[in-house]
Amino acid sequence: MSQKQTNALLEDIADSLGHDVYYIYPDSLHSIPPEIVNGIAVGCVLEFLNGFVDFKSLGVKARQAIGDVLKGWRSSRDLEPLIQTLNLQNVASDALALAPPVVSAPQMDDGQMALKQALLEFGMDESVADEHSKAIRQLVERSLMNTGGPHGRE
Amino acid sequence: MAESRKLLGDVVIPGIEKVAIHRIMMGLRLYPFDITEQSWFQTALQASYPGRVEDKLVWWRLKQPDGSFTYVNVDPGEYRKAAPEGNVIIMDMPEMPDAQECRDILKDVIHRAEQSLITDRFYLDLTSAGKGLLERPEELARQALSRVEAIIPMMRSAEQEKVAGPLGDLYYHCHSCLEIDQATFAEIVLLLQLQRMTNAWIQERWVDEPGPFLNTFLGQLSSAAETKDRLQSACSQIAFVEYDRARLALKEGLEAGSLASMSRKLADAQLGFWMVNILQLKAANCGLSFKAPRPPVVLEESSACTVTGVGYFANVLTERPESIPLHLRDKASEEGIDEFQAARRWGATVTVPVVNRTFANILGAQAMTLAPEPEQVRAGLNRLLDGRSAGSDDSDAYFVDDDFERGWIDQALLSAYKKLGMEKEAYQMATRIVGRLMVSKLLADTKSTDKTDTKK
Repeated sequence: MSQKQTNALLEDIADSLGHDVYYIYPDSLHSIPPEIVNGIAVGCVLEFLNGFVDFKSLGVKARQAIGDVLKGWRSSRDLEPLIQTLNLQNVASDALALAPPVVSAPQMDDGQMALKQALLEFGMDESVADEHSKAIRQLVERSLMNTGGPHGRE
Repeated sequence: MAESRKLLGDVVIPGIEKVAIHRIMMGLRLYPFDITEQSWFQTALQASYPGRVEDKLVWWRLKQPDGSFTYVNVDPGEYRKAAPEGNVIIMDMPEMPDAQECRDILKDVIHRAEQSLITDRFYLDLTSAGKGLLERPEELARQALSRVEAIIPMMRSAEQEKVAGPLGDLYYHCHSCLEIDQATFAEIVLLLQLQRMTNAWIQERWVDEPGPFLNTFLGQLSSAAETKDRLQSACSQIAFVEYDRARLALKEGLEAGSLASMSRKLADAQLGFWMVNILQLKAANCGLSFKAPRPPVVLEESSACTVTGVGYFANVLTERPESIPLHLRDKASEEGIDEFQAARRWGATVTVPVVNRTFANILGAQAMTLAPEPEQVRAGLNRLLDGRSAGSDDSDAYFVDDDFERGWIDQALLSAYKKLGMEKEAYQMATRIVGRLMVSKLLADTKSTDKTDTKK
């Protein structure tokens, strides 16, 4: 998946989350900068992929970056320093490149479940977490299909 | 007194009148006029001052009517009730000078609307409400409140189907045409809905002060065991319906084909989010809890983000057309993203809904044409040209079907041609722009003569 396609996917995810990013961002800090919204979208992608992708096959550096982002997004506040030091789009692209050429329905189910679980941990209501994890599943699925899989051409 | 600001810094773009009258009115009619003027002054002052000075974050201290203070910074934009600490500078917001900036801008927009080709009933009614606000505000308020009063007995006795029409008219005049400020209208609609759903009717005249009556209504019904359940259920139903409706309107607004239709959707979203937020806050103040579609922070931010989108574009309309694209170019290079992403992030997202996606793309292409490198200018110009005639063999066709967007694109193309030294194309474009302006003026004059003849 090209950088441009990854960016488009992240924008669609941010759109789909809409105002519900405020579940994830600490409520004492108003007006979420767009970079943080983008970081949250990257967190969602990683969490989704985490349901069925083994990040161990990545290089040490990339794996470390994914681990940092996942840790950072789960604690919300730690996402900001990562945005300064990491190229989150690259982290998302590296992770998406690990998705199998054809992702099966059960794998997608696992991804959706993993993401929903993470969203619930941010305090989202069951129905809201369900709505977003389903919508993000569709976006990732569409994105992988449009690119002919993670390794496909544009 | 500072020189008053003019629409697009006095640059003339055909079709601006419809977008401008609506968005400026939306911005000015969020709150009662005096509050809007003060907030407009404060926003303009903050925007004219750097967000940071020598690495220190600048915070503005604002005195509230109850004597307390709140703190605001504009980089990246935060609001706090407690004094910020750390590496900061705290500046006191000065008293508002005796300026009438909002009124001046509105006057200018109304003048242009009256000189223009507008014939749609909606924009004519909106212009009339704007004039009323400037020239006879008490009469405008009386007229709007009499519409509310007229619907109360119908709401009380009629069936749902029979109320739908008059209720639609009320929304049209008071919400769409902005005869009432939207903070007050949100309270009015809440009171109408709550009374009907709980079948508990206020006997006194409440339309002049819906806010205090809404507080009392919620307080009284929540303190009596026999009405509390009904009230909770009504609040919850209203909150879910309005929230879903507002989310949908916002989504449709961002995907709208023109800024004019985006603005109408944005207004609907803003009212809906506002209603839910007001209901939640007022219910909490009287110790009433109800099942809401989202937690308070999300409701508050949905409302705040949408209000920002409404108000911000009213400000953009008083800047020159290239000011936002220039800012986008800087943002794109600072953040290592392209101009289209920068435009979308700047103002075409759910959390910053200033413009629709189509217009954000136009701004992105225009930002490219403002780059110092000729290749970049040419690439931006091609994007504008591609977009302009997309899906058509006709080189004069536009991918947008609204005058305002066409006029905006033509201005951007003219500047790009000049910058690249493409004199022939620049001349042709300038001729086209002037031609369209002349035709518009001629038709508007004919329209005005027709009106005079009809009066005779």
